[in-house]
Amino acid sequence: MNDAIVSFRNRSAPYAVITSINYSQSALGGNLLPVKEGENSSIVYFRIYNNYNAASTIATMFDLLLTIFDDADPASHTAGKSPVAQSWIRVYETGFGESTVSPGAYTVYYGEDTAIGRSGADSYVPEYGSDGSTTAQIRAGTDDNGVGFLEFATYAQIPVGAGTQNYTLALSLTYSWIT
Amino acid sequence: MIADQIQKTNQTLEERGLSPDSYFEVVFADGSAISEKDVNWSEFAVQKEAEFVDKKKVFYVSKFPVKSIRISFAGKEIYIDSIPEDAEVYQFIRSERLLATGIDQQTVVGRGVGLIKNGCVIEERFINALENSIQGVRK
Repeated sequence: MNDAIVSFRNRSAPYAVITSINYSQSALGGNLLPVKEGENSSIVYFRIYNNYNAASTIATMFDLLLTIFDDADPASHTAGKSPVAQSWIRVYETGFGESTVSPGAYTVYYGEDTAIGRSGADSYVPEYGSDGSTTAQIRAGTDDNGVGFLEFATYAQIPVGAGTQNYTLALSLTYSWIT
Repeated sequence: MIADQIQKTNQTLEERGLSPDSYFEVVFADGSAISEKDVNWSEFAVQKEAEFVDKKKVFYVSKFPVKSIRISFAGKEIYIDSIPEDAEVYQFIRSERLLATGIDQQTVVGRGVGLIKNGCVIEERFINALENSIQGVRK
């Protein structure tokens, strides 16, 4: 079995790969504004796919864990910035699905809204797997040759007194697999 | 022999997403031996739910009795022998995918091996490449 082929993607067609998530507040007219202290950002939805292009013999990702780290040096997994140290970022599952071909059939499921951060001490384990089981896993379809995904919602909850500052962070997904 | 019952792979470690120094070596109860260089763990493993510390988690355990197992990764090794006859053996690879501006990184960050007895993990050891250490729990 080969390592999972992981991609972060939009939740709607054409399910484009995303390379970043921006936390902002919507306003009338659709402008994106900074998130005020003491308020929440707009919710951003995204999917994590295993094997979107349906390659052969791709491993199941199991024991999934989502958290955030500072982005300055992701390899060191630092947690010095306030959003990470104080777990300002929230995430929860909103659905799952599998198929032989992309994008996969979608089933709605709302998981528990969870704060993530603090060097991984605050992390989110998805309640449902891509197959609808209560195992935190994303399979490559039913036969290791297909597609599986979980869908998530995320937002920033900014505490009072946060002040005015821009932060860039790294979202970390860790998972186990076997050959 | 047990090892003869396991289908060989024609893929290298690198083709499966592993570095050349990342593999398991297993000696089964009948004395026959295999290496990940030649076989996949999925060829002789079954999924099993067990209690790890205070949580239920999924593991992939060998369906054949294991006498000893060695895990190599990132210049470190874990070797477990004297495995109790009534214990099941699992091992896994831990990877990380990061989503961060300007970073597109999917990395193997560790390897672990453990024993399950009566539905509970009684021992797990983990080579943590990020911290360059070997960690573990024992019940």
